[in-house]
Amino acid sequence: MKEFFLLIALLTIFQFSQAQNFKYGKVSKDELEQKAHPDYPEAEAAILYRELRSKVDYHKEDGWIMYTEVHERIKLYNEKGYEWATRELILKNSSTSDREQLSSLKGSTYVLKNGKVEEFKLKKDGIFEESVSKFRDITKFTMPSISGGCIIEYTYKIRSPFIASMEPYRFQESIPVNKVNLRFEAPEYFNYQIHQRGWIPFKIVNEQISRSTTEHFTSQHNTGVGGTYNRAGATKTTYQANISTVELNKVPPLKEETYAGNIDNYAAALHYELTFVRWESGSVQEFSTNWESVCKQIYKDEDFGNQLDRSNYFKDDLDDLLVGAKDDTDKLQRIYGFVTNKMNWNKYVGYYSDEDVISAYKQGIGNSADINLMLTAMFRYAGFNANPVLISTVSNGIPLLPSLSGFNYVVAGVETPEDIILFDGTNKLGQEDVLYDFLLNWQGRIVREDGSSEWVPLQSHSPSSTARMIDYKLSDNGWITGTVKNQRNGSSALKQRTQFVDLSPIDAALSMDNVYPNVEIEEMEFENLEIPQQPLKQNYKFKSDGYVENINGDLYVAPLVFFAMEENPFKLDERKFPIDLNEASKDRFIVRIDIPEGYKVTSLPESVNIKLGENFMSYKYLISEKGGTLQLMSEFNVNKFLFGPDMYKDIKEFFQFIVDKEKERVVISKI
Amino acid sequence: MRILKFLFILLMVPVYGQEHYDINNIPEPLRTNVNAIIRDHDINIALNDVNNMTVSYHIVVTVLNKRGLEAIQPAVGYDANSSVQSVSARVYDARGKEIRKYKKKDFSDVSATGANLYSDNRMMVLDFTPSIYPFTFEFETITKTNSTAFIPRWLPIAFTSVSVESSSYILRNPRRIPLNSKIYNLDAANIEISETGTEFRYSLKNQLPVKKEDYGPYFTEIVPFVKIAPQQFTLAGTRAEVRSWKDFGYWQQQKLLNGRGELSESTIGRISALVSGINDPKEKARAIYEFMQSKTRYISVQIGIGGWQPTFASEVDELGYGDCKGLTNYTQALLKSQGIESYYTIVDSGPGGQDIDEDFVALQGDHVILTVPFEDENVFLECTSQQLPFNFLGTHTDDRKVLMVTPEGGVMTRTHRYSPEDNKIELKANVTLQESLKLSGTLTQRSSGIQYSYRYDLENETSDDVKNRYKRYWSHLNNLDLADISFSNDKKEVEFTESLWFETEGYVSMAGSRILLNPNIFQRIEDIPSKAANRTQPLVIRRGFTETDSITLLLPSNYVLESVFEPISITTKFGTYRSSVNIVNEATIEYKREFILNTGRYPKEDFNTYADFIKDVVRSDRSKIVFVQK
Repeated sequence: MKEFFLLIALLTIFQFSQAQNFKYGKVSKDELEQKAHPDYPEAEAAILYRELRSKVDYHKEDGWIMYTEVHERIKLYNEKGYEWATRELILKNSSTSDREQLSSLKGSTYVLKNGKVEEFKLKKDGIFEESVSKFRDITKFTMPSISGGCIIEYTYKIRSPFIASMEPYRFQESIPVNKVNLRFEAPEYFNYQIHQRGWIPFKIVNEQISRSTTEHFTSQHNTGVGGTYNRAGATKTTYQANISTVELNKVPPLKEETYAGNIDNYAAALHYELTFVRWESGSVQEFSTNWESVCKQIYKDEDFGNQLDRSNYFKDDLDDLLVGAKDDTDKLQRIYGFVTNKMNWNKYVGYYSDEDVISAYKQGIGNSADINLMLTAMFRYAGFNANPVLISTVSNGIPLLPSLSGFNYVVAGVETPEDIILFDGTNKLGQEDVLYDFLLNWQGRIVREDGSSEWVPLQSHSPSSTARMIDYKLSDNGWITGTVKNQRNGSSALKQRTQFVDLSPIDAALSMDNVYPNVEIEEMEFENLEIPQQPLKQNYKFKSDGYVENINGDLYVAPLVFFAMEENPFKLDERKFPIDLNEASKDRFIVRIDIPEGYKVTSLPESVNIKLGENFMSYKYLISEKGGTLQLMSEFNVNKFLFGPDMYKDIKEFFQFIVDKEKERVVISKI
Repeated sequence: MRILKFLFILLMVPVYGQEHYDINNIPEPLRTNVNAIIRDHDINIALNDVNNMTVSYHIVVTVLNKRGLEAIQPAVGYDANSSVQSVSARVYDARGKEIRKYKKKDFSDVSATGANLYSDNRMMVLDFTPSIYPFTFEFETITKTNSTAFIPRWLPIAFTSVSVESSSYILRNPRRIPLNSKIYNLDAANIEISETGTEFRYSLKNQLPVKKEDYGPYFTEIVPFVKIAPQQFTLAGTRAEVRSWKDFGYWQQQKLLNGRGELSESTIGRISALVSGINDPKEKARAIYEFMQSKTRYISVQIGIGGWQPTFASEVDELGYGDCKGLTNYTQALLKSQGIESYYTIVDSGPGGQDIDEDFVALQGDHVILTVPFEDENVFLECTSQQLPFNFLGTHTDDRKVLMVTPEGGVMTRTHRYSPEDNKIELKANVTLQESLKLSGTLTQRSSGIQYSYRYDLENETSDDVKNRYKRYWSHLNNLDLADISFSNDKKEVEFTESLWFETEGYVSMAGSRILLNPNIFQRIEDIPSKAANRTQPLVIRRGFTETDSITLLLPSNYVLESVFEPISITTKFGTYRSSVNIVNEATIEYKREFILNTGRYPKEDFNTYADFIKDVVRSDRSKIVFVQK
């Protein structure tokens, strides 16, 4: 996995400075006259300046508070950029009375009219406050009098009691960012760890200055991450404040690419995470310092570790369930089947139990933690060495440095002397060792009872596989009629199960119409559709007149007919981000074709067997003919699934080779 | 504490619940091939006064599987003029035993902003995950409102693959407020109707599920439903009395629009300067429309009566933004300042093309545009777009009945309809097959009518995005390389022309020493209908079109043409298709293709013939020519 970090940390240096006035309100004529961005002339908008200033400061009633000031100046070159004239600020609330507050929002639009700068102020009628739910409010504002070439500027303050973990400070956007400044200040007691993200390197400058407070405080305060700390102090305190600053210039816009996973993984950003607080008294409160301590902290939480210690609520059910179990495999399957059957996932992710496992068990409903902590506890009760495995889902991104928010999901892991096998109890169609695609992100961290933890790979031990036997008859009128027998294992089976499980046989056949529109599919049947432990089998009959060309009495057919890979999924000329194919896979076809009577094969494609790099991928296409029957065996294996952008060209060519090969025709002529 | 609560709930289980909702009580036919069954659905409305209405809603749904979950929608909306009096839900197991109960406090109160920047609409919604299938879900709400403009309609069959055991609708009207009511698609189901001066009742029993059929009419064209609107009502505090479209338009004009069109002297001066020297009033209107487009943008804010009333023209002028009402009203004011009359026009938007129902006088529609009457035609202006040409409507508002609000009241009219000849896309290309078997060349493509609306925004994309769009548009062309891309957007003629150079690899297929090439390089029909065994609904082709392709292809010198296909011609009532290859000389061929799909509505019996026609076209589009190495 080390290589992944290298891949993300690609080097490009941008250091420039310009003599411009970024004081609020000092928008210059030059800036307004600019017709297009000098480096990215097609950009619809650009952030000319972004300033972010955060300070953790003491408030006599509310304790330590984070004050953040934001100032942005944005140039809108054309209509497409107008969406930047409407901004949305999300304000978090916690279940208690802690809430983020917005203040001092002001803004203006500047336009050039007859050579003069005109200013239009943002007024109340352009600001909208909305209470979205218990947990968040949104303030939206939209700037007045927008026109092509205008500049908008705004500033606001946010007061937040959540000082332990804040949203990352973002330095890169889908439009160019000309200049961005961050200043972050916190008293020496607070030790923040910094996560630097993206492929643009930047320097963080640290300094210390002296500050003092004159408050008398002896009270309990909310840390902002659940839990409290005690603060006892004198009337006047002098302390050192740590200040870190970042300045970046000319940050290029971020572009989407396919097979790159979550694009936010690559945006330049800085994330602060409180690791520990050391009070003057010497007492230390730990948050997160390394993955080990992050995991310890998670384990200690009553919504995590405690949930694993309970077993009374399921004891009787489990004792009944395990009567007559043959061996360990049987026990594991019985428990896993029991949980997936009984429990219903409410689609909430998280590694903390929502209510608690007992009430989740009673209701049969829970979040990912309720269900998988319960599953882990059951495995333990049955005598297995089972432990929870923390995961960061694809949408949560890849955390580069330790933090509590680095994870947002938990599954159960059963440790054997050789291996760790993962189970996700939320997945009713799941099987051991196979996780949903959205969980296949980076790696997981197994957390043991003794507090130790370690990284584990999330991908299945055996590749996802699809094997198809296709048997068809080719008629001289251009029709093909035949049968398909598929067998799938691993995530290939999981995907198909998810697609077909609630469909009637008619609807199942119809849904294939969308995949292969000019093929008539009948008598589709599945075996083991709802038995995830067994390979998924799918059989059907098909006919079509869309795949054989009759030209001057000769028949031309690409033997893989509608299964041929027609499109190269890689379309961009080049790319910057790694290519993530998610997992290893094996895709095999065995095709048997009866050619019509009175015809013979006059031309066959060449058989090939090629590999990419050190067998990162391989492709086989073996074709032969014997006594009126054509035989084709083709196999495409992905053995390595994560590649650096330097491999892009080779991968694209490899796929193109397959596309070209599978399009090649067999020629069949009259004898 | 938790245990006590649990016991309490157990004690509350009503005895009748034990079997009332047992799924075995559902008649067998209603249980077959469905995802859910609506057991009982009651809407009870008390229209107490012109400004006082109570709506009680009660529904019981048995959900058989995950796909049936859409039939339960445990949410209720409210706004500043209405309040939720009560809301609750219960869950029963297959035997009909109550297993869970939700009270008002279990519902979350969330904003219902939707796609607007802001709206004061809110809703109470239950975050519900079923613990077992099948189960039965009961949901009840009572809301009170002082806005009576919108009386809930009765739509007993609201989902496909869901059957209905019983559904009823009762509207009580003790004050005998005159009502308009209309029953749609009455013949589609067995409905009991009773309408008196003080009470309207509708009910339906044992309705088999409706299936969704592709290329069919709108759902509301096939299922029964009832709409009711009062002739006297209150809308966010504003009273109205309307008996006819004339009244309705007059009311809109007087109460919602009047006095909202004032502009500052300086703006009027600016507009006068803009149109000075233009004599043709239509050209004046064009200049004003384009000015409005350059000055404003669309921002939707819906608060109180503002959901129906435009903001002041002067405010839009100052802020430079507004929603459809505000921008339309603003444009109207700008035109008026130059003596050009125009009408605020209400439309039901969306590509489905629904009419404002002429026979049902009520607040309808969800969008407004501006109609400018000229002697030769009505000009329609979509005021929320900064891009659309003057007098051009896309699929959002084309070809449907709309209501113009004139000083004399409401008047119905119809928006532009674009015919298959209007919706034309013409492609011309000069292509060379290189010895390396790469295919390269230049092409121009001209789009008009509705086709224009699918293409014109290419102009606003960055060159990377443009390239990516072509790569998706012609996704069958692998390793596509593009250069010299240029566009010309003729807004006056509503024509968009693209021209470019391209190169693609791996287009031809090999067959030994022969090469197969499909001369139809660019057109691929993606949307191929599947034949249906029991089609029940008519076939609807909303917007026909014309595609013409003309490609000159130069072959490499080391190959010789072996065969071309005979000209193809298919003529059906749905449209025509023609393609042919003409050998110009031994190294040059010319490919021509024309595909015309007619706009139309056909009986259900025609559906499979239509599917065959499209399949024939798709097959013909794959015809190949063969050449061999010299």
